[in-house]
Amino acid sequence: MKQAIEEQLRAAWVLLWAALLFFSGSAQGKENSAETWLRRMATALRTLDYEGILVYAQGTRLKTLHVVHRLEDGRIQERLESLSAPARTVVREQGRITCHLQGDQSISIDGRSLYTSLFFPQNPDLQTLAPYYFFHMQGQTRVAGRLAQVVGIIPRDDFRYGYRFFIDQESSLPLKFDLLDTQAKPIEQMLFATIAFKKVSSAPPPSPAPAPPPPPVDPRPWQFSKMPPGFQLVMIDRSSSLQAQKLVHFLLSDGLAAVSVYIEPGEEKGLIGESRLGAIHAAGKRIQGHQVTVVGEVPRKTVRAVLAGLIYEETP
Amino acid sequence: MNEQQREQLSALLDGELPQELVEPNLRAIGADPEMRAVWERYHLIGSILREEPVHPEYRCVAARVHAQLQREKIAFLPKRVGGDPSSRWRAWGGIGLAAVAAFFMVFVVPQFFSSSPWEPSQRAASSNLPPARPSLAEGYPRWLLDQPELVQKLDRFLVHHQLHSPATHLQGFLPYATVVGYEAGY
Repeated sequence: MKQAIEEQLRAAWVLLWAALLFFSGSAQGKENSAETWLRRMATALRTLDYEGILVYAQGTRLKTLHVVHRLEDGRIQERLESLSAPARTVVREQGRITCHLQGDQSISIDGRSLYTSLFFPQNPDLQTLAPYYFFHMQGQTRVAGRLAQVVGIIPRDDFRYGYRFFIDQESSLPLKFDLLDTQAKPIEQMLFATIAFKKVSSAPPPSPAPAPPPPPVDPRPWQFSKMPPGFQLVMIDRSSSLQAQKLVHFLLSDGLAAVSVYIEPGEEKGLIGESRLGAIHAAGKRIQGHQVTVVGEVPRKTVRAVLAGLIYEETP
Repeated sequence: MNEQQREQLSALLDGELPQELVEPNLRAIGADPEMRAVWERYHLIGSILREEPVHPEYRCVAARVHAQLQREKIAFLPKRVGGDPSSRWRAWGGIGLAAVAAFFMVFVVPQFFSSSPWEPSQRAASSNLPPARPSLAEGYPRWLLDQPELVQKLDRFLVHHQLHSPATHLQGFLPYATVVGYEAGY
């Protein structure tokens, strides 16, 4: 009898230890998952004060950029400045983005009214992205003298690019970032040569105010007959803040990669054919008296497919 | 390319494809660019899963094998003429395929890595793009266009697009580095 009780107690201990090991292992696994690291990175980019020199490499070209991200009284101020010619800067403050590019060209866009954060919160949902991307923890390495966790996002087809983030173990800021082509070859790379950061004493910026439910997505008279796999129409803006004239903006996305379609009525001059800026591709043509331009950080094949599938169909 | 072909490629990669389907699949990879692309992607994902380093030289090996196939006469074993496959024929088939693989590994693949740099995907650019690679100093105009108004419009579209893109939501301010840092050219 005593022996039976001892055996039962022993079995209970074994089960208890097994359960403890299982749950601690599971928690540790979750702690080190790609999703957790990507969440941490997105939060760190938003909530830390940091300043540094960023090296941007594209093909054989190298550029050094000065990056400043400040958070004061819940207000985010960001500045990105080219340190080598030609001098260019991008400043983002309170949702308004201002770019000074070549010559006296300046672009200023108010993004405060955007409700894309409703669709795309800072925290990525890997479950919905899983059919199109393969998420993978790729071990640790050192970048800028700091220990970094490598997280890869590999596309499952050739309609989207991949990403590789080297995330600082301590601060969760991305110390290095690779944009990968469909065969995991880096197209663009960014690397912090120096970085200084501090935790902000004030509270992090509040989450975007809950926006009203988006209007039903009805693109008529435009129709997207054939979308690249995984892409869907997620936003229509018929009163775009982009320019005074009437312009319709469609946003298509797979949840991470995105393509914008800009439609201008009349004889507005625009891109006819294809062009690109590094990894960003654009394609345009005229359809039924409209200038249509498709832009996105996606392979050429994807902008081509979107443009080819766009149909103008006026309903009686 | 259909789902069955994808499954067969996956099985071929895992060494689980029935013997009689190996040769047709190898020939199909040689003939079909889409199958070659998928084959390479499967290899790549496999390398990443196994945490092996991914070297740029590994890219487009299938395309080069295809090119080599066009030049070389690779004699596969003759097909069976009726009857059930005997274990002896299977064994000879396996030896033959191993010999072909060894031939490629020893004589063909090294040629790929020692030849001049190749970037077929970059060369396959749009007809709108300049055909030859320029010198570093020469470069191309932004957006590869000589019309400032059009360049400005595309820049405006790009900045507006970046504001909306979910990738920007994930990466914070970093995507704007392309807008600021990109210099035209390869």
